[in-house]
Amino acid sequence: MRSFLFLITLLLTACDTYTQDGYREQYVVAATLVAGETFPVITCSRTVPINQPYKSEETAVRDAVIRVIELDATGNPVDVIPFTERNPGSYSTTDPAVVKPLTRYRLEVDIPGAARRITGTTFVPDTFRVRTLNNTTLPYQGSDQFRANLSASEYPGRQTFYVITTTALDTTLGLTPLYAGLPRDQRSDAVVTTSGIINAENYVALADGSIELKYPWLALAYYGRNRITFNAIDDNLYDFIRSASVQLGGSTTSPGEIENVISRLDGALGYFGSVARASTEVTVIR
Amino acid sequence: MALLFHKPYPNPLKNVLLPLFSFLFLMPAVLMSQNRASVSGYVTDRSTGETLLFATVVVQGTTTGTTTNTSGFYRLAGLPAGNITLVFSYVGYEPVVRTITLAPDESRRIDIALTPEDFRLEAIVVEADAEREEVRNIGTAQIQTRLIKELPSVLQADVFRSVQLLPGVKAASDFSSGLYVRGGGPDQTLILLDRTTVYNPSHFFGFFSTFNPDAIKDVRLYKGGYPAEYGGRLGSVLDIYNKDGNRVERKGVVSLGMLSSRAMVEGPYAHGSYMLAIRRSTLEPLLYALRQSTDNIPDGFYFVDVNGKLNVDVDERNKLSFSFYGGEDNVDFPFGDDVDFNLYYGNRTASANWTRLFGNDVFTNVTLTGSRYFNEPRIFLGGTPIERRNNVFDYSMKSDVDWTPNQSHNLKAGLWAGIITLTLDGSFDDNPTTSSRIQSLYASAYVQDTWSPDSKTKITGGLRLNSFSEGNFLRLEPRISLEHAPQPSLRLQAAYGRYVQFLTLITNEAFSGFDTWLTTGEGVKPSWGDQFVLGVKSYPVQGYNLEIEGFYRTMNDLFELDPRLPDEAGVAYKDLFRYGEGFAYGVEVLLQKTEGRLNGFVGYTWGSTRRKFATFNADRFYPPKYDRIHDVNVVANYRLSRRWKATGVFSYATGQAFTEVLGHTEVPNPFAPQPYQPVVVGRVNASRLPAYHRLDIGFTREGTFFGRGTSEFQIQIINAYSRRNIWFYNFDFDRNPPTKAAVPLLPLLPTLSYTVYF
Repeated sequence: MRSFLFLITLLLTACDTYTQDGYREQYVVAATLVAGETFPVITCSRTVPINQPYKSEETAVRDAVIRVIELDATGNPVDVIPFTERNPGSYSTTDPAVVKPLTRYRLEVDIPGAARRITGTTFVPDTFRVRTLNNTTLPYQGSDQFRANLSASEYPGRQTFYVITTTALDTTLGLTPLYAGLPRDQRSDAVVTTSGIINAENYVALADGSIELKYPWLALAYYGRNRITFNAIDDNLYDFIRSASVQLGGSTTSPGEIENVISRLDGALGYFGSVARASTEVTVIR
Repeated sequence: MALLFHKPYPNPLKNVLLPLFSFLFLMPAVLMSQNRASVSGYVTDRSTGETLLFATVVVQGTTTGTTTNTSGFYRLAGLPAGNITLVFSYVGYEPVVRTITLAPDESRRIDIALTPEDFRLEAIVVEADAEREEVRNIGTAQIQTRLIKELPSVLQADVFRSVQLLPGVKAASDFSSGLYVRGGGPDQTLILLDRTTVYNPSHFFGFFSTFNPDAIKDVRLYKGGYPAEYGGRLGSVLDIYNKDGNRVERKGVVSLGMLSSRAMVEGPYAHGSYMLAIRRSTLEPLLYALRQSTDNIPDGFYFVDVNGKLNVDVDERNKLSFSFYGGEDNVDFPFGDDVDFNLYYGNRTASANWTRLFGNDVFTNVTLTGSRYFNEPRIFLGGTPIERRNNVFDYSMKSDVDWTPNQSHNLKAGLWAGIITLTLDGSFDDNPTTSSRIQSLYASAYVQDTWSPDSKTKITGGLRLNSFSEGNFLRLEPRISLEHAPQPSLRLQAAYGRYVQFLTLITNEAFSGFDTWLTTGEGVKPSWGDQFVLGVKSYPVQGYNLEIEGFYRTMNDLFELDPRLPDEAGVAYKDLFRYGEGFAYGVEVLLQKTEGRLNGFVGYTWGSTRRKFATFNADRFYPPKYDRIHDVNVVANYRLSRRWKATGVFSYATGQAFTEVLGHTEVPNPFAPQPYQPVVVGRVNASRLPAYHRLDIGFTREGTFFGRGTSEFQIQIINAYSRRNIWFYNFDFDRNPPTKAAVPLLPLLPTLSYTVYF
């Protein structure tokens, strides 16, 4: 009886097989196709252990063979855009081809010595434009706000997901009150502000499919001229951004409970994503 | 073993309903015999007139006995005619022994008043000590409100923090009063106040609960395997009752503390009794002083509670009671230039209860309940208002019948029907972003029989049927428990039950101020689980209780808000959630010393819990943060002298689970110059924090208040040796490599309070 009890105790305390695994180096690939523009730079690098500094020159993956393949509706290749290494870990193309909206592309990355090919696919959102803007110049937090009418950006099977960025084109007039408390060494970071993911269903949809969007004051860091860019993102960026933004906290996860970011790449971290963009310029006065 | 129970929901009708009906309809006819008498009545506190819930009534020299119900009423049936001696007892009270002579078929009403035990320096010697045992069902624990007020506590006495000391109950952190019972989260415990559901029982960002110890009479936790009369939650039930009010004389309490102050008045009136208790934070002077020298101090912060109860004794057989609770938190917090944050949340409950005795055999209870939870955070960020309003309205009627037809059977049946409405409205920059209204009818009916085939055995079988209109769900929950007492001081117990839950809670362990409830719906099935419990309860020597309980439970069809959902606008309801399953098992040991100058308890839990959600952690089971393998709590009260008493609490637990960060990288951000800096992890929560341990001590000096009443001065030291237990690790990515720093829990914290009883 005593032996039985001892054995049970031993089993109960020792049978937890959920143990921590060790660090394993992974490849990191990032590329964002922009509808209507030439193909972008694709980066290829590695992860490092948490206790080591990250140095881009040391983590760059060299001599990779990278291709982006345009696919037709049935998934067959239509065109191949080759990339070559211009800087360590940074690959670009001289092909003048332009990224086509509502088109699927596949990424293939072959790294010397890697066990397998890295692949990913993206479906490029439809292009759209800023049809109207109620005012190009407004006082900050005045009685009126910037309101833009955006044409529809189609994406099959779902509503449009936006990320809105604001780029200060003139920083000489100073920071708005919300950002004025930033330390000097962080003020350059506020030249570009970016929102989280915003669903199109937040906004009023008009009969012609366009949406009426009110631009929030909190996104404006600098007085003066600003460029507002509306980015309609694909599923890969949607998954990567939403998982990266809560990886270390926020939302409903407990402190210290961390999940890997969602990478819709086979064989690497990162993303092979695409966007469609439309921009407008505004001026904010005090 | 876990895999054996992860099956589609089966229909237990065939295997359970027919045998259960056989018990109900055939056994009484077989067992009912002639010349049997019965005794019934109320058990009360002699000094206050308060009814005593779950007081013990035992026939001396036998194992025949019962407990008072939640109205303080008991009934013993099937007694032999002739002389019998009854022993009435309750922890903290002197037992009453009454010898009576019963005629055949007599039904006698005996109301008993128990006297609170006076303090004596010497240990009390009690005869007939076997009758002092407190009958306790499987999976059940009770906390005395007196103990709640005596335990050293963070800033003030708290019901939930006291409950967290019981075996099987864990705390997420020093900052959270949330109850994690047998591996389940806070939303898996049904919280009832005077039979009314409370949806967010927390104050001060979750630091402590909404239950004012001055206003509370009884706190009972059904940790698992709870009976058919309760339902709606997967795991457990915390059943709390307000005081009725002193029926003997008018009394009151005033207490001043570092965080809040309290006042309570209770007393009799011509037709019954009343109780009114108020508690309010008193931080305003401190906040004002801090604002003169420190930034980012709240502009305003308060919380307030009001508990009230009015009892109307219509006649000997009919009682009415009206109970209400109102509580709220309101904080205004300036985070910096052009940023203002306001959070307003709270609860309102009200209930009207009618208890009636039909003859001396049938006890009925009808309750109308109303409960409202609201939560309204508002942030004004750089000229942009961001608002959200969440409301839960729950109106219901409950009706219960308790019938003891003979010595062998106690039948209970009941109905609970209501309507629950959940609204969630959000806006960004004055633009509506979310507007959702879910309204569901719900109804439950149960029947339960406790059958005693002999004096040593009790079998309780029950069936509960639940319906929920949102999603059109109908679910059956069988329950069964067995108890066998081979000796008067030894009880062997076993229980099984199926439990269904139609609600889920959006919460964050670090901060419960934004809690939001959601329900099942189209494409979102209710969660369900099975619980198995085995227990042994023993009273080895005078004044000691020993309880050992083992449990295993499953959790299926769990649904909770996807933590990686960035925006809910336009998302189909079923796509808001992630779906998963879980299980938990463990063994709990409670050794309690109930008498003497030194008393208290030692509770130990060995346990484990796991969860698994699709597309999370590579579809693997993982332990949630609050999972601790070993958990020990030692609570000791010592009467130093007639005026001084000391209390100590020592807690030790092995480390909580956390995720070890293994690597990091940089990924270009297509929208900004600063790159993303994701970390790389292996298995979620596969590592353990260092062990947690903490010692809290408190001293109370009893005295008088200018001859007008008695007083208590309490000084307490939380974390007496200032152990810097770790809450979680935080990373600073401004450094390369990132640096990891431990975020600590509470440091050494002294607290003072002064209480006057008049």
